[in-house]
Amino acid sequence: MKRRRIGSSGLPPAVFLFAALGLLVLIVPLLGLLIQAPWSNLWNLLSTDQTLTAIRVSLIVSLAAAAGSLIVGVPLAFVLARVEFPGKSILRTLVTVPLVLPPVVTGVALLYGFGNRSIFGRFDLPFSTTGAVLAATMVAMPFLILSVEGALRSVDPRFEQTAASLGARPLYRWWHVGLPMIRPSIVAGTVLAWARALGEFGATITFAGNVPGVTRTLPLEVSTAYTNDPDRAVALSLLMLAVSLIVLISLRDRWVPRR
Amino acid sequence: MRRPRRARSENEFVPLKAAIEADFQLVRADFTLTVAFDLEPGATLAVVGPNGSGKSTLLSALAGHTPVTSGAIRIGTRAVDDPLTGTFVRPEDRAVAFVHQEPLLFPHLTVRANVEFGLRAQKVHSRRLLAEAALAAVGMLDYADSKPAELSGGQAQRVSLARGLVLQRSLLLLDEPLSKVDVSNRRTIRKSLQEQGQTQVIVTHGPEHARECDRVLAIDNGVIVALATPDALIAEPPTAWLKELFQ
Repeated sequence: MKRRRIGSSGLPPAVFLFAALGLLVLIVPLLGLLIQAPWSNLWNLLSTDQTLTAIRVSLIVSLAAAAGSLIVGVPLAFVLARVEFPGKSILRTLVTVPLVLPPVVTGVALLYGFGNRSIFGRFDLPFSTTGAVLAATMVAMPFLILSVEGALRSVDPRFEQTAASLGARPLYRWWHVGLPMIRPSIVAGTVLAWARALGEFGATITFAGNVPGVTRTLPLEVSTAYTNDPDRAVALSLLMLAVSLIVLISLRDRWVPRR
Repeated sequence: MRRPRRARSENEFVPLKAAIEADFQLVRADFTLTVAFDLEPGATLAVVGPNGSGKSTLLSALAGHTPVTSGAIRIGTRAVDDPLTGTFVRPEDRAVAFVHQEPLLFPHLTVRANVEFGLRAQKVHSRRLLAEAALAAVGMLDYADSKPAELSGGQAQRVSLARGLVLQRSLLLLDEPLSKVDVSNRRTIRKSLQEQGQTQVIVTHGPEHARECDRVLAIDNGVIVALATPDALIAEPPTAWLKELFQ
């Protein structure tokens, strides 16, 4: 098909004006980051001990949160998609609350749910790496659950019935039919959960604090560095922007409909 | 809901050709199926009827995908579904092969792996040879390493049939198994189905397939309208659509 030109789209000019404003809001900050970046010094800024420590903490926390989301999120998505029980709609709403809850509130909630005064107090979770993983898991898992649950709804249940009639027991058919048939959505959901965990700030700093080498992840490092070493903050921001772009490009076919 | 009983198939004798005794009612919100019939071992039963008459629901009940509301189903020597005694044998323990009208091939597996699926699930050792023989019987051996997405509707249906036949179950439940298969292949496959010799329940819209069966069960709106040999039905069709079917 011939590419449509602006003049032949039939849209009123005002639409283009507002569209351009929208683009401005989305693009200008990123351009600012790219233009102001200390390109010549980038490598040095990114290879300081502080930065490398934050990268290490971030990788541990985000990968553990993605793995945790995967291990408990996929079974939860199966239950939500396949099992009917009273109060299911309430449960589904609760599961997705962290998507819209301000992360700081999530952090406060974590303090009251898993803090030292809660019944989980003896695990000493706040201000530990495990605590940071817990905070990241709580905000990241809903992305995985939504992705997997959506995929499950579109799979014909008769595939698993067929597997049963062929003599496969429940665990066998879950592992060899139920899971593989939604593998792309599991992968996409896990990557998305990982990206969300990598960027997590509010819940982490509230529940797990900002302890260097323990809970100070990349976003916390950016925030901390900005006050006395803005160049390093910008360099770290660029690093995270690059990671976000890689995630988006790898998932593009899944989230932006192909033309 | 009833608690499913786990059948111990290794302790129960299931003959190669299973008899069926079915006398049950299956009640759904908008539909009730009431059937009663017996089928002797090795016999073939064609199930005919208009769309929505309950043919597929009947197969689903026999396969164990839909529990009956009352009455009972016996396959071979054992009750597989009997709400009165709380018996319900799950689909994987019923020793039946159920082939849906839609092929429902597992899209992530090759044709060969699809046919081997049931054998692998039951840890059968010679599965490669058995699968190849089953694929050859439906003329699909050349496609063993293809993915289901590469097959036409008729080819996929043949693979689906092979996947059910390879298990050599004592009862075959086939839901319009040849509806998408071309005419020349249809005849060959029907012949090899007859040679299988198992008890077979076949939902079909094709008069030639129904004519080859030992008996024909005609259902309409959830009730049996005729149960007779094909010859008897052709001679004296009890309803207009049966007359039309065999014309």
